[in-house]
Amino acid sequence: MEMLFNASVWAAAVRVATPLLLAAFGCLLCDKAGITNLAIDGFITVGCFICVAVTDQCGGNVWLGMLGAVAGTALYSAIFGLAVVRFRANHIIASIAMNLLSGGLTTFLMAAVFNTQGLYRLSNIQKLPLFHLDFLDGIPLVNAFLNNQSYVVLLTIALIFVMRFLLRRTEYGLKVTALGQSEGAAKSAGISPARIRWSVVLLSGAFCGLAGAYLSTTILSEFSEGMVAGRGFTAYTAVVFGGSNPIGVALVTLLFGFADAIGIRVELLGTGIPSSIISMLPYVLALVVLTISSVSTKLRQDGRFHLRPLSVGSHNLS
Amino acid sequence: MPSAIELLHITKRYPGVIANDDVSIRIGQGEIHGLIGENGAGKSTIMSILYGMVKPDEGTIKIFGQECEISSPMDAIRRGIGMVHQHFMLMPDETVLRNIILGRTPRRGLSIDETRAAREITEIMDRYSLKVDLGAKISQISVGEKQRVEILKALYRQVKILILDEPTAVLTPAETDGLLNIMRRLREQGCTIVFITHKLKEVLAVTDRVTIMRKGVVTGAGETSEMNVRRLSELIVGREVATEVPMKPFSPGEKVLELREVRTAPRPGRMPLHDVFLSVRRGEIVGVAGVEGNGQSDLAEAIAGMIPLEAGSVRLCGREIGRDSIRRRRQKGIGHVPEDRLKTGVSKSCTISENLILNRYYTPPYSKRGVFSHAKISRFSEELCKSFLVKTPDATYPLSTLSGGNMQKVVFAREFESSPELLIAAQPTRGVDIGAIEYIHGKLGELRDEGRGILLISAELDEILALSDRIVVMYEGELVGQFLRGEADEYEIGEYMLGAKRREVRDEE
Repeated sequence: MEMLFNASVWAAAVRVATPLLLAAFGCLLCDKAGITNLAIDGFITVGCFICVAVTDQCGGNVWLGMLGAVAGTALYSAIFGLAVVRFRANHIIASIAMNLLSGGLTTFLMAAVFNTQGLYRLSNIQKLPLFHLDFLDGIPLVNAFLNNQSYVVLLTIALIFVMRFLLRRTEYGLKVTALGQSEGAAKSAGISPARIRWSVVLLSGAFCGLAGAYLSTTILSEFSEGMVAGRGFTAYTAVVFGGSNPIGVALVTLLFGFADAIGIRVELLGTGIPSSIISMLPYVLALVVLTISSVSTKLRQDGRFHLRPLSVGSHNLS
Repeated sequence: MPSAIELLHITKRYPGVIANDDVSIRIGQGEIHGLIGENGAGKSTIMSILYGMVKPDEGTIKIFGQECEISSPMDAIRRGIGMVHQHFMLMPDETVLRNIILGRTPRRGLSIDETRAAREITEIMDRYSLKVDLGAKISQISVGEKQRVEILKALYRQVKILILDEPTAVLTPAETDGLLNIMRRLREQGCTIVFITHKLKEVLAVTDRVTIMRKGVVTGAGETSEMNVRRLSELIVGREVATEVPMKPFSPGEKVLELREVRTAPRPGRMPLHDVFLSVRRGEIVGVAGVEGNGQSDLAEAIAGMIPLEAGSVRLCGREIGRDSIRRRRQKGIGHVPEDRLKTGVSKSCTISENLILNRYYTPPYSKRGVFSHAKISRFSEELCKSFLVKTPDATYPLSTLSGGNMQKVVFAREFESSPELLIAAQPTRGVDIGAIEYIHGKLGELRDEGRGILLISAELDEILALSDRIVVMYEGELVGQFLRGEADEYEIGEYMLGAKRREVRDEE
């Protein structure tokens, strides 16, 4: 119970949540524009790889690595855009194909570029400085959230509000929303669906590139096969559960991060609970969350046939 | 009068069909111009061409005397053309305001200036007395209000020409009158309106001139004052149309269907039934009038067995069927033409003959011990297609090759062929053209004259009035009024439909 108030648990939770949230931003934008983007998992993998490769080639400069990852992954996401926007392929199939391609491509390139298999450690990395403001030390939760975190974390927190502003208050956000809710409305208002859809796909690539970069050069200093470990799918879950609200999505990723951080502590404490059970927690949580949200969506839409509502309210009004 | 729109010799070919064949239409400035014709006559195609959504193969378009090319809705909007589509183009989870400004957003810095937008729209609303709550979400407002939002969208873009594509199809009589008034006000302000419809009464009530189309060509045009219903329907269908359904004098027999205190459980998005008493006798057509979404769907589905009853009883020919499965009910003599043809009436990917045996495929002679006899099925379906005038070269074609009217004929053929004691006909003529409506109405009349009971549910009040021996009105899941043929006109019934009037309906004895 005291873990709830433990600063280091929260700091760890934020670190876990950051890449999830970045990927979720990309997914959220696509979702708003009517594209189911599950390819973000593969995008993160590619982001990880590009960041490690560029950092390695540029003498350990992580800034350049990150920049490369953002630009490179956005470029890479154009393949998904080509399939989904240009050729109107099924979103799920295209996503699966992208994820398979991402895994295969990075394995192949690892052999080609680093001459190795499975794992490549960055030996020459110059880790980025961490953010620290002395006066925040005294404020418990803020301290855990911000101090001694990467600047990427700060940027991500700022992005929560930028995203909210973008979606709720700008013309671009309105156009994106229109595409998702009624393509007809967008078209008849003279909006070009393809242009908006391309933009959200490329942005999702950029976000995932940053997520991958953070994962491979800030949390770790390596690229390994399978290091993304389904984070893209977890991010998608956060988007579904968080609704269309970036703040909601952020809270859900924080919840996932918290479950993960607690899992590690429980394991270290030696409670006898197998570690595999504990590392399962976020995924069980994801499953529960998805089930609840899909059932509630079903009930909100017209529940045809024998689908009875769970609660039978009083309708005896007259 | 100078022309607002001149469409000259427009031709549009699709593989296998000519949607528009050398179509020329002239629409004068400041007039309300009716464009009428059956489904598939090419009205929508020619208007889509005008709105830049379809590219014509040949022909020229002149707007206000100026020849121009319209290659996208953006071009059309820029030239002052606005279109209110038959299916509303609105974002359900956004506010009315945000829907109106989509595509023409006033900005302050990076963000949308909603205050300025609200001021501008309020001005327009005042000028045309069109009132809508700008802060409400689209999903919360009524169909009539949604339509006003669509019109406001066009006015906000300062259109001079407004195309209304079948705008009254979804409205109640009172709402329709309101819309016709709005159209007259827009005309006073100098707006040119193209009014696409297949309801002749409205054409005669509001338009200045009309153009009639059939099978891709213009079959007539002229001043509305020189037209009447008979002449218009001849031009539309290409032959004389029976306006009245021939039926024997009303002589009802014993009760076929009896509902007592029927309730259904509330479900999201649906209006449940609340203590409904209703009966249908042999040789009687009972029409259920009401604004859509007032429990008609639950009524049909509760009788057909698609949703469970929460309380009450449903009797068919005196025997309780309230707990029977759908199949048991059908075997006992219920036929059901469902309201949503594509969702619950047919299977689009199956063949026509498969659709025709959907309610009896498991019985001999169509199948024996679980194996189909294709020879018998195809003989049976060829015969049905012939006798129900389904236009198809072959019953083995996929159902999706049929038009809406012909699909509905397939549903009717299937349900009639099982000679039901009671036929539930929900929205039987929705989306079908005048020729098919005439045919379906005639069939319903025949079934009644054979001594079957018919429960007719329709959002078209004209249809209810034309066919029903008895009319009940549904409002918020209850029956609030009952009339025998000729006891009330559409305005009186309209007041009950809107809940302004009500009286207890138990059961007629």
